[in-house]
Amino acid sequence: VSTVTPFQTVGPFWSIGLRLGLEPLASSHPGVRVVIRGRLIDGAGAGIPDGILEWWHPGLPAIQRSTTEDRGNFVIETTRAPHLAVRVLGRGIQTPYLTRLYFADDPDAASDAVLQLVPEHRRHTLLAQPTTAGEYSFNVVVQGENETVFFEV
Amino acid sequence: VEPGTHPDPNSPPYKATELRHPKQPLVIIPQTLTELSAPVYGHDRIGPLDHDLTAQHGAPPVGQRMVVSGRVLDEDGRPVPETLIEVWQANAAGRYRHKVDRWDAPLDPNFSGAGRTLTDKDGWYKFVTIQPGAYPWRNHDNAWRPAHIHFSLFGQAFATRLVTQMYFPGDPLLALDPIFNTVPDERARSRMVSAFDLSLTTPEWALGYRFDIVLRGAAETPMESRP
Repeated sequence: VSTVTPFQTVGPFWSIGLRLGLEPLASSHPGVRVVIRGRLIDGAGAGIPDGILEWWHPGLPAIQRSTTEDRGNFVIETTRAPHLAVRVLGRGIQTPYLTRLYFADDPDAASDAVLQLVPEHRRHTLLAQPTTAGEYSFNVVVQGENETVFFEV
Repeated sequence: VEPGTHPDPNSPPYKATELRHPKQPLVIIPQTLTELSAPVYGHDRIGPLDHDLTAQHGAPPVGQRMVVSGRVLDEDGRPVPETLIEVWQANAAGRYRHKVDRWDAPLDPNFSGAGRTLTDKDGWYKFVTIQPGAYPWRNHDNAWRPAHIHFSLFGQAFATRLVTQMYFPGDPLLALDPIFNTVPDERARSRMVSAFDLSLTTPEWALGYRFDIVLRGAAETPMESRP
C-alpha cells in the first residue's frame, strides 16, 4: 500500500507544459459536433484568464483541453454525449475541480442518476443551454452566486 | 486518501485561492463509466527528445544537468504503465519562457522548459533537465518560490489525475513557501521532495534525483448509468 502524492496548483505558467489535447478533434471522428461557449468566473464575478478546462466522455479518443482567454472565455468543441466530465485547473486552484456538463435539451438528463444526487436548486448550474443550432452556453462559476456544483468522486 | 494529504482549496496564505475556491459543499458521487474509462494520448505523439529538456535546441542550456527519474504507482502499490507525464519548469535563473513572467532574470535561448514522456511497463519514467532556479513572486513581501518542477499525470482513468510539484531536498525556501505548506500533513509534504540518488547520476555528466509518484486508485466497478 502506498500513500498518494499531494496536489499542487498548476500555477500561472502551465501553458508551457500542458500542450497535448488542445488541438480540435479530428474531423473524421464520429459523433454529432457541438460547440459550447462559456466563461470561467471567480468569486468577484471576474473572468479567470489563466484557467484550463479538461473534458472527457467515453465517445472521445482522449481527454480534450481548452484554455481560457483574457476575459475568462472558453470554447469546448466536442461531440454530443449524455454528459461531459469536466475538470478545471488554474493558478490559485489547489486541487482540480470536477464537474459535469449536461445538455438542457436532452430529455433524459433530468433522470440521470448522478444529476439526481445534486440538490435540485443547484442542478441548473450543470445544464448547458442551447443558443443556436449545435451551440450551447455553459459558464463555470468557481465561487459565489450560481456557484457551479463540484464533485468529490 | 488520508486527511491532510491535499491542500485546502481555501488557503489564505496563498492569496490567489481567495476568490477561486468553491464555498458550497462538494457533492459526493460514485465513479461511473465516465470516471473509470482510461483516455490515453496516442504514443505516436511523444517525440524522441521530448523527455530531454537539454536537447531541444541547437546547444545545451545553461545549468546543472540532472536526471530526474522515478516510478509511478497506484495506492495499492501497483505500477502505472504507459501513462503520460508532462513537466514544465523555470530555467537555471528561475525564469519561465512565458509571456506573463516579467521577472528580470535572463531567458535561455537553449531552454524551453517543457517535457513529456510515458512511463514504461513497470511504471518507470526518466527526464533529463537542468536544475531550475528559485524565483520571486508577489504573493507577499519578499516571497520566493523554492526550486520546483511541475508534474502533470493522468493515470488510468479520468478520476486518477494528479498535478503536483517536485521540490529539492534541503531547500531552505520550502519552510517559507505558502504553496508547499498548503499541504497540511508534514509526511505528505515530504512526498513532494525528491531525493538525491547516486545511482541515478551519470559519471562525468549529470546529477540524479529520484521522485516517485503515487496516484489514487480507481474503483473496480462503475456505478450503473446511461452509457
